[in-house]
Amino acid sequence: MLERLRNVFSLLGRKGVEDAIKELQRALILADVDIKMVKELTDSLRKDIQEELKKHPGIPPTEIAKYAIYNHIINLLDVGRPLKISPQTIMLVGINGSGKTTTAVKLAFWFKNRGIKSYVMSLDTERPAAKEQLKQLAEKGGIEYTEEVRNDGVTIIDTPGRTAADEKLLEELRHLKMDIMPDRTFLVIPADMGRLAGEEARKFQDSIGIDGIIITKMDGSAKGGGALVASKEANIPVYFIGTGEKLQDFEPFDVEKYVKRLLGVPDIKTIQEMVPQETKIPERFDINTFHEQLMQMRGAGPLNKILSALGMNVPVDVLEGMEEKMKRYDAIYKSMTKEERANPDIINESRIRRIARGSGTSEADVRQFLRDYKRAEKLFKRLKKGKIRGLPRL
Amino acid sequence: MKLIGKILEKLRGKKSIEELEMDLLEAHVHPDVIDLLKKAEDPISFIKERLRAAPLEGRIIMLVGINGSGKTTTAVKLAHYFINKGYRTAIAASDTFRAGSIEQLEEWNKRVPFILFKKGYGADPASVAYEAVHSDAEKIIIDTAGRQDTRKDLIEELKKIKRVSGADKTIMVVDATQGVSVLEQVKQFQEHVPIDGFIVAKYDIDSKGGVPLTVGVYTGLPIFFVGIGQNPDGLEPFDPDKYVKELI
Repeated sequence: MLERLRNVFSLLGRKGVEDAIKELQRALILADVDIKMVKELTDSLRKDIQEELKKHPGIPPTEIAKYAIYNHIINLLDVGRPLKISPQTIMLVGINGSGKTTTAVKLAFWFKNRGIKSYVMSLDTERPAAKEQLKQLAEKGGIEYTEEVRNDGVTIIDTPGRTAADEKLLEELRHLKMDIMPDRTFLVIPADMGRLAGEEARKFQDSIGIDGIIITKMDGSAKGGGALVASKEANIPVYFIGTGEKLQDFEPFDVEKYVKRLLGVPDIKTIQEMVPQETKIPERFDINTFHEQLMQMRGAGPLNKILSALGMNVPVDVLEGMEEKMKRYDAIYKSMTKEERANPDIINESRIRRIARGSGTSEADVRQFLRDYKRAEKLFKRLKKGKIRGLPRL
Repeated sequence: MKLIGKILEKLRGKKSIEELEMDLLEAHVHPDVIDLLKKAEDPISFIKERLRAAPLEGRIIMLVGINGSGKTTTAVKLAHYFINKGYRTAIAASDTFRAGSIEQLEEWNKRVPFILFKKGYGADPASVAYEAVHSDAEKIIIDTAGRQDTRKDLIEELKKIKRVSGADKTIMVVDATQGVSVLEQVKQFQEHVPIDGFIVAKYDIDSKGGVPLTVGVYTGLPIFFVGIGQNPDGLEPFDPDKYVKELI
């Protein structure tokens, strides 16, 4: 969606409300939001803005419009719901290729990280090697594969890919559900599904009963407008979104976070969540701490996620440059002596030369490293005072 | 192509592209494509010219696309198609990333007698393709790992497979159920690995969606086949006439 939504706000400042609304329409269409719904939304938006303007003649129209747009989108996409962390059986259903199998393991992994024993189980006897795929993935996440529903934890059940278009196959799925009697049945919808998402949600709901939706592949350029609106229309909450290839790339759907990310508002909550949980604010900040933080950021997943959580929309080129930089920084760090890491102030010109040679980088690289370190140190001091405003610019 | 002409001819009297816009948007045809149609002097012949089917030629065929679009199933269907035509056909299991992808092809191989080249997970995808290409197979289909269009690093990998294999045709497998984001995906892939055309998978699930029109008209590249169902024989030539008739 919606790098374009950012344009909406900037257009609002430059050209006024009507142009901004037009841009919003286009942004929503590009996000696979159903055209009728787009019309409804913008009609009600126009009305709202006019009424608010009458009520508050003192406030600039652009501010009123901004507020109204934000609220309308939140309202349109307010479909998230948290999942109870307790032993249960969850069955996943959905179209072929939506990402059910990966999601099964991600969901099990999510429970496991919250202290609940979790299992996965495959009822997909159709897709060749489906069980094999599930087993391999489960093993990666340290999750046990089971042949039957377990009572001592969470069991996630993978099913064959089904589309709502085939009623006969859907009927089979309904029988499967009756045999298993899961506590919850989730429909898995990929973020790039278009107009069909609504139809799928409705038909699955009617024929087998759906308790929630999981949207996968949110890391691509599609941002799930089809699926989100489908859930809104069918009145089925969205529990999770999948945001990458790794097992930990999986999070509960939080509408405010989502919309803020779309609109480019920095989101401190996401950044804090990305920092591994055992991380405490260290007592002292030296190059060791700096290096550790950098490497943790790398471990937290592709940089673009962290940056997009910060409301930065960085071209992929730049990001790749950054990954490169991380590698260089790692080499520079490794070429420093223990003493230098603990006391960066002693690093003089000749030490810089040595470090550059040792790490196979240039002196300019080492100086840049030291500058970034200084910046991070400053930030660290602010963080200790409890005032974080942004990560250091790399 | 006659039918398209007739339908659009009929529509021409009553509806302009502007009036059709709502229908097209409802089918999730990308707004950029609608803009192209608006600009075209004669939108009808523009569609006719750009939305086209073509026979699939060449010895080495590489399949690319995002995760879950249907590449592996399509690879098997293509193999089945070529085997039926009497070609000795191989599949290179160059998706060495996705769990279960190799076993999936092994399972299919029990039913469809293609020659399977595989090396195990984590192996260099290009080297798997290389082996297949240097075998005596008459048709080689290279199945690659799915990647999101935002992962430039991974798309970059495809370049190497293409170079090493000397693929005659690079085909992007797109999913008929997708929304307008399909165009962004096509653009991203095309920027890194020039593609020669498309196969639209899962066409039986949504034959009224905007995906074929969007990718076909925007790129002008042919749609070689559409995928129907899960069986190896579920591959049909694309029929632009029928499609446009259902769309509008």
